[in-house]
Amino acid sequence: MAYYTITRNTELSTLKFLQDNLATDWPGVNLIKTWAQLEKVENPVVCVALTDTDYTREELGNTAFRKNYIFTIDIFATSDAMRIDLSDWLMNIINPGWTYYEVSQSSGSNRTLVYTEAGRCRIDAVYDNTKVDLGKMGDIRDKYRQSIILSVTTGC
Amino acid sequence: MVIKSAKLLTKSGAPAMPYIRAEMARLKKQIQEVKMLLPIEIEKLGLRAGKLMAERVRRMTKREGATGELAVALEESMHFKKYGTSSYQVVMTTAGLPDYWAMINYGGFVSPKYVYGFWSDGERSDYTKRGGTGKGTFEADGQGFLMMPRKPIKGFHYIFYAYQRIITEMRSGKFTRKVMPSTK
Repeated sequence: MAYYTITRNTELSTLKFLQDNLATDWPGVNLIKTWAQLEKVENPVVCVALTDTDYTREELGNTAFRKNYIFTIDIFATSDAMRIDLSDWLMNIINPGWTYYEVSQSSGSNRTLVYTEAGRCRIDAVYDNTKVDLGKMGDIRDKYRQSIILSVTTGC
Repeated sequence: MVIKSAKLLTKSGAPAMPYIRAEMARLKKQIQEVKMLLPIEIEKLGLRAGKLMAERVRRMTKREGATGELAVALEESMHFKKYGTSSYQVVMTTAGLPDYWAMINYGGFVSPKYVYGFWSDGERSDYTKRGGTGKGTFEADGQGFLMMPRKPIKGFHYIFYAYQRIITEMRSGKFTRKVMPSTK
């Protein structure tokens, strides 16, 4: 069994949570985790990526770090109404936090992931939730776009 | 600044007015000093934000031959504005920035137009990659092969990066130490 790191677990836990909820509430919306996959799927798309990790000390005198995972969520909608609804829905469902899983590869097949509940992911701060206007440079696919930047922490 | 409460009252329990007046005058002087220093420190904050954004753009630029126009423009785009008597805001003016500043920050799709060009270190291996593949500069001066850019540009998020770094630096006291008067 190969186990993933906390950072990767956080990313996969977030994707799993969004995948499950999108399937129920927004069927037809594609969820991707890398920018490279964007050209392969049609709008509407939600692109979730763990882009940076910010470090602060756990507490005064403690040498351990508290990691803040910076997620950038890009919504590529098909209309302005959908852009607003989808971003609002997304903020509402992630607001209470979601399950953190320890993810491992199955011993039989390394393509099968095993998810074991191990805590919670919580939003530490919402830095940005804005409509993206690329001006003259944008393509039709960028027309109804929203960018959300979050800081997420993990714990019990 | 610490005002000792014991000194605020006389032995009989009445307010010690000479002491209170002297402390108020000292406090007023310190507030004026901070007001004079604040615009300078806010300006420094803006310059630091510009430098951080430029640093992120330079670090994340992969292809050779980049003009560096955006990084230079970002360093010069940060200013501060004063609102009312003592409110300040660091502002990024986009007028001097190249058109593609938002595209580099947020990423996105380039409008699909056919362009003639080739990759400077590309190889013409097969007909599906007529312009060649590679990580060199894209040469598009009307020569080469008819190509259509399809891959979306990945955002650098340099505005957020600068914001986040400034907050971290402020937490560590880098900016506040010089402005705030000593508490001793």
